[in-house]
Amino acid sequence: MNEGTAGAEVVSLYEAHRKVYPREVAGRFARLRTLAAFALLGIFYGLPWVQWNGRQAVLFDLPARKFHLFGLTLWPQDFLYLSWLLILAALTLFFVTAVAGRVWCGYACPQTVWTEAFLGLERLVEGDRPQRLKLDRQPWTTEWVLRKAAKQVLWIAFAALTGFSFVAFFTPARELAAAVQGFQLGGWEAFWILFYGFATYGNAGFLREQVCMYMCPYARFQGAMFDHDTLIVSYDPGRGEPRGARKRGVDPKAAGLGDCVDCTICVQVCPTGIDIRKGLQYECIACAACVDACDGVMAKVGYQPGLIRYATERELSGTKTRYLRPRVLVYGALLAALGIGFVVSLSLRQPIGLDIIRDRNALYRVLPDGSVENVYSLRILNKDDDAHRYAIGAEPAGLFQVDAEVVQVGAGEVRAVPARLRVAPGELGRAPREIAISVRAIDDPALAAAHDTRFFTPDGR
Amino acid sequence: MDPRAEDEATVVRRWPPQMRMAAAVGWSSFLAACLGTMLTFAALDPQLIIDGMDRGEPGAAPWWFTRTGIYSIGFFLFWAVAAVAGLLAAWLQAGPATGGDGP
Repeated sequence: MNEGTAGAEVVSLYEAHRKVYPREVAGRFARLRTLAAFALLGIFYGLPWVQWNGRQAVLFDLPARKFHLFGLTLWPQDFLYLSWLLILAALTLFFVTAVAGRVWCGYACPQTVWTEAFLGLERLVEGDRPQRLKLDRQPWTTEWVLRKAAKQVLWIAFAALTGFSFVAFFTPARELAAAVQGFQLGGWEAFWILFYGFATYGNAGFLREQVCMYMCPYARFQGAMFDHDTLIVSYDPGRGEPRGARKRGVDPKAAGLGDCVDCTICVQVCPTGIDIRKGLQYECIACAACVDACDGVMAKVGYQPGLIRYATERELSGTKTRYLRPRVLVYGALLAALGIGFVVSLSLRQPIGLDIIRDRNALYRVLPDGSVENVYSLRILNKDDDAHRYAIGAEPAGLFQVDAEVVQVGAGEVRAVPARLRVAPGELGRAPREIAISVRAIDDPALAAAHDTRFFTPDGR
Repeated sequence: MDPRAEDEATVVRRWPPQMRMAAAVGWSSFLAACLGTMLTFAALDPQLIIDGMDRGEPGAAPWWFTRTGIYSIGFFLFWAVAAVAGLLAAWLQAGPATGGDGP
């Protein structure tokens, strides 16, 4: 109790903690974090309700096997784009990690965002940290039961909403909402709403930082992307040490102390419960809560802010940070190349696919009139949102007599069509071995695809 | 209240090794299951399975055999299989119960 009695004269320690703690919530990084959380949660809960050209703007329609992304429709055959997108996302993560450390963890990771949201609900019902601590040390009073029950109700409702919103990305949101209202939810939809809701409740309500410490692969390998020039949340030991409590107005230098008043508030605000003053630790999710907290304390005791700040190892050791370095340039160049390639490829993407399979029974057939025929089986894939009628042709133009029907292929459907190509006897000398077969939509000539194949004749060329 | 008493609540909760292993296996097999489900059902349309079960008689397959149902069942199968691999790996990684150079 020594420190308790000294509390009247000593700045910070417990009394100061009570005043500084709420100020932490209003710090600049806390504001940024709240802003990011609101933006991301807004996207998650709002996006299923956005309409585009009369249908849900973003819908990964698994039951219908097509993905709608605003004006774009992707079919299972476009799986390449999805994997490309995932690779782009991973590279972006590497790039950002190399430059600015774990900003993903601190601001954008769903685990962080939903933990923040659940913590917010907890604060709403149970008060801030000292009140929560006090409440949890109480025996089962009426207040305890009421507050805990209210928190659970809020958490469960929020988790259920989250589960609903998740499923609404995969089955049309409006139909899903109508089904919920009418108690006519399909078995699997109900299951996934409950499953995802339960996962949210468990991860954000209870597991929290344990997910980052024991389950997250990124938390383990992000260190490999760090170097001495990466921005990390760091405590400046050169300035802070030796740490210790002091009386107000005491010159720290005269007392042989650094700027750290050892109030431990940086530890108390940490969502993963580490002491940043021990240096970079893999548990640190770079949320910068300790930066805000420490800046608040520094302002209170009249010291410069930034004892804990975003800094690079090089900066802390007194040299200049190199922002442009091989690691950043390589990640950046790769990211730019893949990103540009993705956009170009997506904009050049033809919503039509063509496969050609040669008839396996015979290389060629000589018809009674002496002309030579090759038979192919075409598979036409219509990746457009409308049905089209397709005509089949062959290159070189004018040489072949093409015997194939005009086929109608529905949106997202595949149809196999036989095609017979004939060359008249007099033209045989002109027929090359390498030819191309093409399909073209009759109503939209821009919709076309061609594929190389071979044409065989008796003279064996 | 003594501020040090407050700090006690800040001490990081550490999980026992078994729980860490369960969490690591559960989560990594979950990620593997997501990947497996995505790859498999990008190439395979579950409707083919349903049509196969119907054998020309629509409605012969059970009600829960919809596309969504088969995606879901496939996902949990992948999860279970990946978890078995993870558990085995974790168990082997833990090493034999007694070492060769015992006292």
